[in-house]
Amino acid sequence: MRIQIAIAAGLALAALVVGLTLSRSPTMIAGTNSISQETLLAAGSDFTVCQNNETLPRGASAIRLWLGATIGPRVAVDVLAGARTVAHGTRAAGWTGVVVTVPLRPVARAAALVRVCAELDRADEPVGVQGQKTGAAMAATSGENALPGRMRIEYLRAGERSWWSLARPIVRRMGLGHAWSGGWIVLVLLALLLGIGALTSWSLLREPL
Amino acid sequence: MSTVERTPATPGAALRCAPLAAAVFALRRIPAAALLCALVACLNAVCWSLITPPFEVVDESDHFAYVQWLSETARLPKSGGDGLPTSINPGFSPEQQVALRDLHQPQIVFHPQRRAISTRAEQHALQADLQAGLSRKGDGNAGSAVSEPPLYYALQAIPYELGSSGSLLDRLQLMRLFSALLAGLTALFAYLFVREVLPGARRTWLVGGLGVALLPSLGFMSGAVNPEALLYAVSAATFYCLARAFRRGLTNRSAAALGVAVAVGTITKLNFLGLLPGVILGLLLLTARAAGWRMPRARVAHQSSQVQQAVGDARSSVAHKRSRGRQVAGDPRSRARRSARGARSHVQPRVRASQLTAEVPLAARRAAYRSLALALAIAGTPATLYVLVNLLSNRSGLGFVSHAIHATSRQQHSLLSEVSFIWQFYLPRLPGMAVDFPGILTTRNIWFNWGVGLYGWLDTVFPPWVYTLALIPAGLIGALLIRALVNARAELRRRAGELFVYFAMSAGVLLIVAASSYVEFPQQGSNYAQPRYLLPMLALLGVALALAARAAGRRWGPAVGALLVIGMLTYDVLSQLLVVARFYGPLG
Repeated sequence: MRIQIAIAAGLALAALVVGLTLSRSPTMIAGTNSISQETLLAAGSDFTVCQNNETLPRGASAIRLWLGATIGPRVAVDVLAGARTVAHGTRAAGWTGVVVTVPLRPVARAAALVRVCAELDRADEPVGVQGQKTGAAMAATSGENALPGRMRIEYLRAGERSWWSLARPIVRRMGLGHAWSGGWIVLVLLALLLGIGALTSWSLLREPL
Repeated sequence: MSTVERTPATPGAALRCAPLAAAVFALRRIPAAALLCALVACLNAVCWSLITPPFEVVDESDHFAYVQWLSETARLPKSGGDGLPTSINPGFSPEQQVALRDLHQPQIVFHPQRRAISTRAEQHALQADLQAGLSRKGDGNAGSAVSEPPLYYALQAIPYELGSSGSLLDRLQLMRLFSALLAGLTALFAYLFVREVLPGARRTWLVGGLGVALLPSLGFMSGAVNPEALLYAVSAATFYCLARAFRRGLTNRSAAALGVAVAVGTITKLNFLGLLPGVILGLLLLTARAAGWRMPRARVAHQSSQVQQAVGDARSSVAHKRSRGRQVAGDPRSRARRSARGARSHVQPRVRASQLTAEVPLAARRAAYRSLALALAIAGTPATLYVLVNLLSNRSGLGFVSHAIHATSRQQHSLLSEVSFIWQFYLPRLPGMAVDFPGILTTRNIWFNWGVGLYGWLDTVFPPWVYTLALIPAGLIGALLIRALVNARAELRRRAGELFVYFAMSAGVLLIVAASSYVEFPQQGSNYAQPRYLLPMLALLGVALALAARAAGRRWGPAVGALLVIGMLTYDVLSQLLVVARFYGPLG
């Protein structure tokens, strides 16, 4: 009897977790600094890169910086309006890729002409800064030195629509670019997943633990 | 259908049917629960193969290029290299280059904010280009896959050929489905391994088997074209063969099975070499035991305890089956009799009077050495052939392996610094060690976090808070595991040799991965810091989960076991949703 209860409770909890996950909203881009990521501006470790004249959109809950590494170091971001810190966030070491997303506490109001500073800890590999070449006056700085251009920055915030409400376009996209085209593939997937769940539960019941 | 009905009408038919009958017989001897685990793992990998966009699994484009070149030319790839996946390898076939371009693969890799193709126009362009009859032959470049042994690719040539009349995407999907079958084998052997290692904990076998079958990393890797799918299966088979030999004794049959597993492993992926020292140690221990190298009194005591344990297992198994009163196939009583017969056959070699005497007869010793020689001969055959072929074609005897050895020997670092690097590759730095991974706690940041979730081209991860949350279930499982080990300390002491063999196999895998990274240190110290390279030890994960369930005790163990399995299922579904969001979600 305990097994039946455990399976029922486990499946109910699983459904709840999946349901809650899908009722959240995906993050979306709230704004960018319109800089392209065409050029490697700098590469190094244990440095701070700062950039003036940024605009922090209202509701921004994360900031995406064009910093690339195989195993990235800890990154701490400060968004400053003059001497006042408007937003702060950190990302622990161990991120990977050509961008790093640093979560922020959502900001209530937009802030223009802010300074974004990203402080990178020491790493065992150089971290690349991607962006676009600009004049020295507009360029990002690292310590006293001006970089050859500006780093691309994107500001993210939670979307207004839940994953549930986005199901239809996602199903349509899942049917593209595969051997078998069409949204029906998602039905096959759902059937397979339900089959796995049923087989798993049945085998747990059949083979008393 | 009865046995009589299946009997062929003529002797000729009997001969023709013999292999089939043997296969059916062998299949029937596999426990139904093991087959269930295999089915679940297989279906799970099929799901992953349908979710992940083509070539969006790490190195899949290189592995596909290898299979394509091998299938189209019947030759091994000629060149390779570690080119960045953010550009299309010009050595790939024109057909594959166009597919990669139309799928925007180079733009998506390492850019988690970019999505797979999402418009009908892109889809039409892709289909039109793939139907244009472009050449399927490149210049024999297989990127990073070039140094890999050919077995997996040769096997993948079968689905490739079966789909040769279809588009490249059709062939890729068929190849992915073939890999999914290998996930089934992995789970099957993991279940059988748990059964051999924990013979008295029947109730937990399913927890171990299903836990492995539902592991997202297994589904992700085996839902793609990657030789690691076969590596995981053959590694699990190797663990199983060893465990079986430790439990039932080394016979010619078990030695041959182990030899075949090792032979297959060595021509599957070079990482399998990491398991070899442990396997050889295991063979030596098994031979020593069978040849009576132990102190006679200790050996007799050991064997007597094993006999008692085996008889106990058989009794509990029979009693269990009787009490259940419902069998999957056949009459319960006949099943119970078969089980008892099986148990007696386990016991038989151990209770022979000659073996319980202080001296092992010469014939038994010879048989032990013969089994050892057989296992080593079978296991060593592919490597010997490889060296011979290389030498006959005026190449370095060890071929690609010699490049790695050469690269290692060129390292200017001391042995101590290499040891320090390997330590820090997995564990926190000790006082006095140089800082090789500044600012990173590899145990947590790499092996735990990335072990929890790292998909796509290692560019698809959960939000950071998920990894923190994952510490809770991982900690609970760890605590249960520790409790189980403490409870079973007497058993652990008794089976210290066997455990040391599994430890040596695991250490070998860890060493080979860390040493491969060290070759590129200090320019790059973490290229191979990927949890997927540790999945050859999946069978041990099965045992860990089974032990965790056992540690919860008689009263709560079953419920904890069921929750563990359902937890793995949830984790798998959430991982699949993560990949769906990454490749098909709104731009973000």
